[in-house]
Amino acid sequence: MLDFLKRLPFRYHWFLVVLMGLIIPLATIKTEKPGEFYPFSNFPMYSRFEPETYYIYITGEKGDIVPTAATFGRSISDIKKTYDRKLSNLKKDTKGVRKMDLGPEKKAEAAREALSWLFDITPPTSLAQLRSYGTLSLHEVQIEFRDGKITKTDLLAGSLPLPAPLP
Amino acid sequence: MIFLAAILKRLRWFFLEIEPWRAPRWELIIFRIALVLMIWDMHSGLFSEWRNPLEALRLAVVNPWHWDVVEKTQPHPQGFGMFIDFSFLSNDAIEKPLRALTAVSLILYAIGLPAVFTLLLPLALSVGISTLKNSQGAIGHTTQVVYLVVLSVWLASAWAWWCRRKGKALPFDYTAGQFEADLARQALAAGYVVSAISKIVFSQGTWLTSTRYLPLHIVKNTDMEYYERLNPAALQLSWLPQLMMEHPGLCMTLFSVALPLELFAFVALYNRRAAAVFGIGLIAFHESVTQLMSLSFIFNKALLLVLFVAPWWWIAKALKREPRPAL
Repeated sequence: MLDFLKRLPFRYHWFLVVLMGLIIPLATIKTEKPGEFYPFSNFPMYSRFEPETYYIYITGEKGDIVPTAATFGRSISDIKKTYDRKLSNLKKDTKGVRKMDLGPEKKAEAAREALSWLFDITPPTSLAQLRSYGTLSLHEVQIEFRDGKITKTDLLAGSLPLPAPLP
Repeated sequence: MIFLAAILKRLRWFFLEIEPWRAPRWELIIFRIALVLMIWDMHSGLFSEWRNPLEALRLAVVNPWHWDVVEKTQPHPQGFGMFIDFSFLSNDAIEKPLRALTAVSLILYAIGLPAVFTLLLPLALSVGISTLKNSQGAIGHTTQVVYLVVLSVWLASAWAWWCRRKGKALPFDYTAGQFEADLARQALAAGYVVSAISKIVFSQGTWLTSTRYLPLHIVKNTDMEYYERLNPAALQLSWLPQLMMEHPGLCMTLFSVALPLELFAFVALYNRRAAAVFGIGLIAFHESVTQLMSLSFIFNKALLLVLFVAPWWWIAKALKREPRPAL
């Protein structure tokens, strides 16, 4: 074994492969995100393509779309992951139901929590612009392949009235 | 039979002949500058304007003055965040001096001071900030490959410094800079190999067939790109997913090349020829995903270009007209 390791070329490379592909995933198996230990990762993105998926977007009180990158400095993907994590937490109480099929109350709760988090991390320079939207709403768009066509279903998941500025 | 043996011999020479990557000094300078720019992106977002170098330069100078870490808590600690609360980095009294010191460190690194001293602060600060951001409930993978490479450069520099003190030679009699680039290359390849293993394991071997649903994810990503910046250009290819869904062979053909490229990325470590083939292949794959799914993979492409393809070296070699090595 020792002889094999001595003759193995690129030992640092294989050490990292074992570390990121096996050791860290096992060591973090009970954490929220097994395999993740920045800057190490097992890079699980797109390791499965499910036959259905969804994304989210955000609108203001008048229905105008809120561009998240400019307003919050966050990508839609980050916000979706946060909303998704809230859904996962709520799903624990409802066994046998997929996240996408959770009831409107649970989705509204997850949406409110995600929007509240977004408000908390909004840079101070964007707060005035953000308040101009009044109430923020999180929309969930489900995408499926049905009857030979890609179909999209837009659902209003939940809303959050923004708090007034402190006097 | 002799013809086949000759082809196999040539293929073996092309891909599997271990040839130490003795990068000339000027190539190492290009690597250092590229790494500095990638690290500084975390404090300026300069890569968002990579198509417009002057604007990117402006962002690199102007943005850091008002760049701000806004995460005040660490609700879902991840990585080193499980042991250290990095929310102190959102305190401007700490954040701003650390950013200024990082700028100084990166300049010192760029002009040739050892990475073991000059990259420690940039590495620690960036890992701290990224861990804090990843501890908010959503994991981002955009910069991980950069800091995996930076960590490897730092480790290589530390090892080279220790060897020098002890009077020991580095592998292949590399210089410190060559050794740093070598470990960086090994780390980059490791990221791809691990990613391929994850695809095989998590999909239970059905990853390639599952790519028939890729068009749904194209719709998701292009729509998200639109809603993120209200950029109508993101929807230009909105006709494509339906076409791909009706012809699933298109996706499988594209990805049937990508998975082996990732899984066997370690072959790129054998020599420059193999590295160029794998580098160009992986850049082409990333670019096709960029076009289809609006995922930039800008750091992956930049690292592949600098560490694997190194077109400047091939141009210099062609200009020198060195004799072809004998088989």
